[in-house]
Amino acid sequence: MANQPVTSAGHHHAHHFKSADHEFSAAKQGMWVFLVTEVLMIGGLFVAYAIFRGLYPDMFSAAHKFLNVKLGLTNTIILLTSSLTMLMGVSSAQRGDQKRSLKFLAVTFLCAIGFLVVKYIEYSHKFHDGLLPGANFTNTDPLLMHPKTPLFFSLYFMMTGIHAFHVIVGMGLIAWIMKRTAKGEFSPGYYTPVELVGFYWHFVDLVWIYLFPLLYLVG
Amino acid sequence: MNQNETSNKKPDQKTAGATNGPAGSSNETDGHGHHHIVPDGVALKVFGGLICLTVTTVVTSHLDLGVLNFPLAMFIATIKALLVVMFFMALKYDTKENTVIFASAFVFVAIFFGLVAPDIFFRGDVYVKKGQALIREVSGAGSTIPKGWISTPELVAKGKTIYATQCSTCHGVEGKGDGAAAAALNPKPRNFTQDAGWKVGRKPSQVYATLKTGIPGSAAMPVFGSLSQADRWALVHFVRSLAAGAPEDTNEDLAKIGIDPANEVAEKVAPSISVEMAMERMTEAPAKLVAMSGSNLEEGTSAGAKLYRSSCFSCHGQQGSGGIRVKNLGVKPASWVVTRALNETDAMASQDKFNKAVILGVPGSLMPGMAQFSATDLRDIYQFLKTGK
Ligand code: HEC
Ligand code: HEC
Repeated sequence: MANQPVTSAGHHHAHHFKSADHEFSAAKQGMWVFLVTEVLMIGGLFVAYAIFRGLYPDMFSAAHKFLNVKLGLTNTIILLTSSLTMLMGVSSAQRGDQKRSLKFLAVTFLCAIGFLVVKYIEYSHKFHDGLLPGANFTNTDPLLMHPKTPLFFSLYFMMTGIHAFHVIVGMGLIAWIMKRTAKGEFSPGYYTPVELVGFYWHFVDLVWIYLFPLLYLVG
Repeated sequence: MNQNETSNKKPDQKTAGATNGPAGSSNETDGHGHHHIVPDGVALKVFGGLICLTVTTVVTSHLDLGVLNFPLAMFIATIKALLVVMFFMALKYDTKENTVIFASAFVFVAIFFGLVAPDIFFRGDVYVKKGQALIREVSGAGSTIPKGWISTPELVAKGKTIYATQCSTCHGVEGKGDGAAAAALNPKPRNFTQDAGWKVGRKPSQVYATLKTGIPGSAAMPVFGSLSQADRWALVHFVRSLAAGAPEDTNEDLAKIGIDPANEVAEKVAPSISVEMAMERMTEAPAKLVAMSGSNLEEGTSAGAKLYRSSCFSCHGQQGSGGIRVKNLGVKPASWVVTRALNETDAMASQDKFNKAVILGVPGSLMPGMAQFSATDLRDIYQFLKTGK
């Protein structure tokens, strides 16, 4: 594959598709369906959040003050930026400018690293302060007297943890398309993986767009 | 097959992408593909919008908008999400089919929430009805017993079990006044096996009165006004069974506690808090509990005051003033909730809210649900908290 000429002709669509375009739209539809399953998975956690917040509003509003808004905001901006650079990477690939695409993908990858570094800082503070789920909760701050407080941190770690896991998977995918881009496998005629990884990455951003206010801002 | 394929060099490609209208830059030929290339300009604008919205949501979260904070934050988040989906993921230029597919996910999450939420949040009525049924049951057969003042082996056996959980911490397993908590108490808990030292007395009616209203002038023995009538009689007979020769009641004695032996009508059932709860508070800090127990209370003697004293005082303090540490049993390590002044809570805003808080309890706080009050009881307690009468 790698040493084939870099044109759309370099990609042969599978025989059960009418054309490369047909194949592309099928792939894209598959990606949307996959994202549906993602929404349903993370949706369960959002419903849990909504229910418990409804039951213990005081506890949520006390506990959320123990999250660091500055770090959350930093991560929001990092992720939004990475979404932009991802988009630029994809559109460059679509237009055939693979060098530019590679640069933007690299920036996206760096953003993802930045996101995880901030996450690491946040998590280690929480561990240090004993703000942990369930029975591991050892913080004794008078504001956190509410007996169900550990529940907030269960949700916090579950939701941000699953999200961070997606970021890590996304980094793997970005690395993968960067490698393929570097090898010259994509062209204006064939860039399906680039665009679909882009979708995935935007979705990761999308989840964070909700997590940030729900956990850090309005508790 | 692809018109762009010939010009693989960038410049004209780029401009083509940037200048074409929304759906324009799709390079499809057979109507199947939907290749939308998002122009850099649009991408930057959307990004700018996202950052502005992020700043807005952080700023507004610092304002106190009351109930509006949450909907506003969600509204802004949804606009941001739509921007990302529509432009970054280009769903706006995608097929209707894909839009429907993606939107369906949210429909299902909404259904999930829609089924769970009413169950959690609107079951209140069910409990109120259950509570009323329970009131009927309690004030009916269940815990009143005919001629409870007459000892039976069943009553003694029942008394023994209740005694083990409720009384033995202070009075000792054998009733010798040497329970684990006795050391910290002054005066010492009564030794039931001997004749000396009884303040109220050993007659059934007198022990009954001790349990119901405490020992006048002595705070050391907690008031067990919250026990049901049957439980109280059971305890009376068990305590008396610990030593032979305890005096019996005359009809006048019984009349003093409002019982006419000729007539089986028993006095009205007192409300009860759960045994485990009373128990836990006792073992936790007997000395403190004794200090708070209601018998040295000078407050009113209205029906509301009495009910309050027997069922609420231990956690809410003098006329609902709060400040009492209530231990939470569910978490490790131990944590406590300090009750607030009741009049400051939302539940005191109206009789209805109050009723709901008492009948259902307050989920997540340690406020237990107590379904045994009649509407009149609840009104009396509410009245007492509001006016002190
Ligand atoms: C917190 C410890 C404590 C608990 C629990 C307790 N008691 Fe007592 N009880 C006392 C003390 C102390 C006295 C003696 C008070 C005094 O002499 O002023 C006493 C006295 C009594 C008396 C004697 C009243 C009299 O006429 O002098 C009876 C009867 C009695 N308790 C029954 C019970 C029963 C039944 C229970 C369980 C439902 C119970 N107590 C639980 C501490 C306790
Ligand atoms: C086991 C201890 C306990 C007992 C007994 C108890 N409560 Fe509470 N109650 C609590 C706790 C804990 C809270 C919540 C903490 C707070 O804010 O005060 C609470 C809260 C309340 C509230 C406020 C609800 C709200 O919306 O914040 C009301 C009203 C109330 N209790 C009434 C009563 C009444 C009336 C009784 C007696 C029938 C009673 N409680 C008995 C522990 C108790």
